[in-house]
Amino acid sequence: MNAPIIWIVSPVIVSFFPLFLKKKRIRNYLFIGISLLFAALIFIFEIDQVEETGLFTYGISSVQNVLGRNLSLLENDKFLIFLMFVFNAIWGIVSILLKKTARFIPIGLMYTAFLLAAVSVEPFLYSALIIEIAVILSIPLLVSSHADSKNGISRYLIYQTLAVPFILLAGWFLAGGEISPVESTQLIQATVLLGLGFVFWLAIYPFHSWVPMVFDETDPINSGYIFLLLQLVFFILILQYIDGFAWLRTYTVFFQALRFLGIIMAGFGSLGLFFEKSIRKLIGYEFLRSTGILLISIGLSSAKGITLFSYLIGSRMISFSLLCWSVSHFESIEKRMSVLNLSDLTQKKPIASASFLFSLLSLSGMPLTIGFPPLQTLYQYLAVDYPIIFLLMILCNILITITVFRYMREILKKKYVLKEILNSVKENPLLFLILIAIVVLGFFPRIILMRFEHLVVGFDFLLK
Amino acid sequence: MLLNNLLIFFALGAVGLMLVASDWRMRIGGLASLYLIEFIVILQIWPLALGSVKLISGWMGIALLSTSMINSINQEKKPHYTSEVIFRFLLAVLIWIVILAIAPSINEWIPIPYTNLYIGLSLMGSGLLFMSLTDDFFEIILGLLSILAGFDIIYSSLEGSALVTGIFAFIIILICLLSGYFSRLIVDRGEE
Repeated sequence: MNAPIIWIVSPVIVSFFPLFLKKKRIRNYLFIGISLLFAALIFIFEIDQVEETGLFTYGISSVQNVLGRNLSLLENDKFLIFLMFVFNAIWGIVSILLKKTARFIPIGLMYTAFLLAAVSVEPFLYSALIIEIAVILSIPLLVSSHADSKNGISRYLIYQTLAVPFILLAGWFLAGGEISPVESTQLIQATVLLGLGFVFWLAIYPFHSWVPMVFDETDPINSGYIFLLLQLVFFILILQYIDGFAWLRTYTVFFQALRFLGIIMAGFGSLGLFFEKSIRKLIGYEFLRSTGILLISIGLSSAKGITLFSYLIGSRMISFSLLCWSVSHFESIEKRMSVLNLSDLTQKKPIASASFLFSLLSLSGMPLTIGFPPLQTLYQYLAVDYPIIFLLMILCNILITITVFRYMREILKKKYVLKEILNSVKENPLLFLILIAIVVLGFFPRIILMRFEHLVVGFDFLLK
Repeated sequence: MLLNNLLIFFALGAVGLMLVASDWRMRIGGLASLYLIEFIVILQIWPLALGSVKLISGWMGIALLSTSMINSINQEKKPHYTSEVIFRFLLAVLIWIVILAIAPSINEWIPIPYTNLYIGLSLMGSGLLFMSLTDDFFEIILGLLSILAGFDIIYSSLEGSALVTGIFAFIIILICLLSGYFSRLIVDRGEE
């Protein structure tokens, strides 16, 4: 028994069983139960400490050999494993609360396992192929076979597939370059190839058009689940690449490019959010903006930037999830709504509307939200070292803030009866509790954000 | 030398057929020929057992694509106008000429036999062109398969890995299954 068998192979096998169950409700509960079980297993198994077996803990090996390559999950990866399976369970629970048919149940477990395999494969340049499998697998989880519009999905498949050749070729160029520096021409070639691969993966300008399209074509409960996990894994892989190659860590142009692309994405996302009327597409633009902010934090090229990245990804995962859930909840009234109807939506679903506004405020880094501390820290770092990027970031944030205030004005056009709001709370008390919990977390962000530091503890060279 | 030239000629012919033909059977035939050419090219570098994985997985994918297309409403597409056929062909020829011009420079980066590089790049370029001229999911899948076949020829010439071969075969079959997933059956249209 070893870690990859437990957290990669087993979820793939187990994910088939719920498919045989006819009752959707039982299938959902089983999915949640299995996800929580895999998350809980990290407390039972000690990786690579075979000698130290306790009363309730067992030592297991970290490596599984597959056709001459290794799948390796280390003790440092435990938080990532925990996070991914808990994420599955939470999204499963919310889909039940929102009375939604989540397409990711139960095959989401397999999707998660493939993403974990991509993170754990050695040499890690093979991750491109496993990511491609996960991407293909995610398509039926996003849309039904009878979907009217598939343009966004087609582009998603095309761009993610185009990333594979670049990453694999970069891997071939860099073979043997992990310790000794490669020659300068080879370095430029490899960086260009690697950069192109990342650009396709992360939907960076000019290959970003599919993101709002895909979000428009799919229910946010599905798209949010798929793309949050995918984004998390992409960024972990980028950190692995930077951590794995000594020359890349000291190559300043690479970090400049990350900051430059980051601010472009943050700008595109903010402009899109400002002008967009469709609520579904709006989530897509927020996704692009998140990508930009995370790239900027990695582009700080220092230990503080990497730690900040972990806080940012934690706060954005929580706020973005809330945004997707609230929009998905709106859609029980009508699909593909416009922000111009926010006041009507608020009358019918006040809690969802409050969640929607609160998540946007949090994502824009307003005080007393969970998004505030990490974004404020990012501004501090940028103001000291990169004032131009700092100013552009502030401009982006002004756009978002104006957008949110515009929505508030739209909502406040109508009068609301307290009784109706209370009825809405009674209708879905757990969603209300989740909203309250996230609001409270905004007052004490360290409780949860500190945990996300574990995501990056394995990157020793980056944290030096 | 003669074999290499013949391989290039047949590869361009097969991908050209995919580009200009409007009947899905002809396109699938072109793709099947591509996999056969890929197999012959790779056979010059790899052992028969590993090389045949490419051919078998490609043809399995083609069987899946054909099965999904037999009852699909997509097969009833109108034939291309003659002007469209000429436009597509000339565009493909343009791509092949551009690749002919840049292939020697790329060959300095990627030191593999010129035939393999030219065939690989031509297939990738043509696949990209194929995808950019359509919004039909089936055609996009054909374009993607063409790109992957081209890249497979280049990458196999660089590195012989059983794991990569296996995963690549799996990816090709999954992509073909996706086409099946999205193909709308004639029965579905009747229900509408």
